Amino acid sequence: MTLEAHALTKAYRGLVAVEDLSFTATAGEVIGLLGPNGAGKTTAIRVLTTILAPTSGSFAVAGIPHTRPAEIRRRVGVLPESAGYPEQQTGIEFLRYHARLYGQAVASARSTAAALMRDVGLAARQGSPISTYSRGMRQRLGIARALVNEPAVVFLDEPTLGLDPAGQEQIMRVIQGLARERAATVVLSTHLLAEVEEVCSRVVILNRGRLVADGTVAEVTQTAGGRLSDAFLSMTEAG
Amino acid sequence: MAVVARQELRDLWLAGRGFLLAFAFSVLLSAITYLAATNEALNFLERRESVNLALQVAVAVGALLALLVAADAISGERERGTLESLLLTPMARASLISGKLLAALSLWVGAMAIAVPYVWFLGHQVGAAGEAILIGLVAGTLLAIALTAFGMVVSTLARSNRISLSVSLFVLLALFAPTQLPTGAQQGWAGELLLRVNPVTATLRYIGKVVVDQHAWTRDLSWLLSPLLGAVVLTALAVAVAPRFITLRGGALG
Amino acid sequence: MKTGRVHALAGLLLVVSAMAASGAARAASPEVSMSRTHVATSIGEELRFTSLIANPGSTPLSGLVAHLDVVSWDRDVYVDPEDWSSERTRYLPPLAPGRSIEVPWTVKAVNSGHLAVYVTVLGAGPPDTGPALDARVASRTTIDAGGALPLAVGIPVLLGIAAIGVRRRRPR
Repeated sequence: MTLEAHALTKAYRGLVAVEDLSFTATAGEVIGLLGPNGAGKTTAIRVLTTILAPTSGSFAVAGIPHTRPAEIRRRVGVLPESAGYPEQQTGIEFLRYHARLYGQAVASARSTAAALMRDVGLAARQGSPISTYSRGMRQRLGIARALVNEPAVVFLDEPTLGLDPAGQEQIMRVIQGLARERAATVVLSTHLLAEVEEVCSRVVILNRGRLVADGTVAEVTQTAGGRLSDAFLSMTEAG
Repeated sequence: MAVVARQELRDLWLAGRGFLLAFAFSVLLSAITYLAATNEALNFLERRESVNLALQVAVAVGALLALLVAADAISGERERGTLESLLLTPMARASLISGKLLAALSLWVGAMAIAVPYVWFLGHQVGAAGEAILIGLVAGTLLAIALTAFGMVVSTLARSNRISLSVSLFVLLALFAPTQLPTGAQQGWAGELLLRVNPVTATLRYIGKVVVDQHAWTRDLSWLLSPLLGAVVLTALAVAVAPRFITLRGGALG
Repeated sequence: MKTGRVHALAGLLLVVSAMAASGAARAASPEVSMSRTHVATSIGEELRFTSLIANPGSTPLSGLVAHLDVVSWDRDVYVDPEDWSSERTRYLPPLAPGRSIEVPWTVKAVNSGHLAVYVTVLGAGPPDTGPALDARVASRTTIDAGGALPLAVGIPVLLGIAAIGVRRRRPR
């Protein structure tokens, strides 16, 4: 089990953003984390990646309990929603820096950064300032950053946000490669149900902070006549 | 900390902002130095006062630049959306703050380095240059550390970068304000206490006593008590306490 | 009636003589003299001298204030006495008749040229100014004004070049 969450709750200022969330994931799985806006997807990711402390409940990443957040951060990679990038740095400089922040030596960080830039298709632009990157390139750079520490679990929060269809396709291919080639668990938060059907082995649906579905795409869509979009709408509208 | 400091130094100086600030600072010192040097009416005492003026401008502006960079350190990352990826690393938050603190202080070091030839030019023939540079470095460094650490604390707590910069600048101006009081108001036990407690006025007063009044540097060391305390306490706050308050949203201030 | 006029005249005479007598016993002005009359020095050096303030009269003098001033004989030289000394006013103790007091002064010669340093004593009577100390202060070149321009221009130019160079160095 690379990811386990038990009765995870996050509340702040009287608002319960995530309530009693429990699910598990194994290596190589691609989990689609779905839900309408405000369902608690980003909050759940931030709790699982130790950015936010849970109000109650527990979780573990690669067997590391949530009480050891620095160790968990060594084992997760995250592409945050609407991530910003230091405009004056080049792409490869950015990756080298983050590799160093994960404790890699200078030479190792350099080679890790170069390899990742190739993997995400940015090798030709690695020496350019990030200020010159398109949105799609920034998303790919963000995915590369999420992989700099060879994580056991990768969280991608809306990785295709703002991308054109070609860009979305590119990202999805990268994501498929993550699970296949790196045996990482991928938690993919997205609104694009077509993507989920294409790449995800399981879906977890949240509505108003609560888990309303957890299973394979086939299991979840069984009750709704075979379309994930119908199942999604019926589960979230009713809530 | 070293990794953060190194990258921050690169971003500050090699991306060009640091040298631009240094250029602007040198223009200011050039104007002061040229005016002082070409004013034949300046008497002997006023030469020492010219040295004192150049030094105090260097200390004040150098510390200001470091403060502004520090005030942008965390709140700026937050606004630019780059803070989250830093918080996702296993690096201790105290290391993040320490590294940024060191990088901000590099502006102070740069300012003093630029000021050295100016102060030397104004003061070497009245025998004031060497001592002035040394005193400016020691006293000014205490003040710069205090102000930079303060800016870092504010930046950590502020909800937005605008609030962080506004609060930092307001406090700095408030600390400079007593220097504009009439001489009479600065005398007496209350006036002197106000000047001593305020690290900015205390530092500038100490520098003046050594450079202009030619006091021995040990004679008025008590004036450095508030900048020293400020440096120690605020740095401890910045490194040991503030990291617990680094959140994605910020918000203790504003 | 004739007796009354004589009495009035006597009274008037008495008053006038009393006034004359009190005039004779009024406080005399203090006298000021200096320990030095001439000095030659260089700019930045300290000058030390003493002024002697005496009470030549027959009644004590109190409330005396001695004040030092500096003036240049050259009208083109501006002298700010505060630059020479920040302690230019001394409040003196009462001076018994025939007694004198020495007041030491230390000033720094911050102007060059031909200057006069003098002390004025104020009291109940008209002020008295002693003889001036004639000071010839030699100048010393403290700054090469022409050397300021290369510095004032050179450093910003160097830093400006550095700023441009760093920006150009960044890949586009």
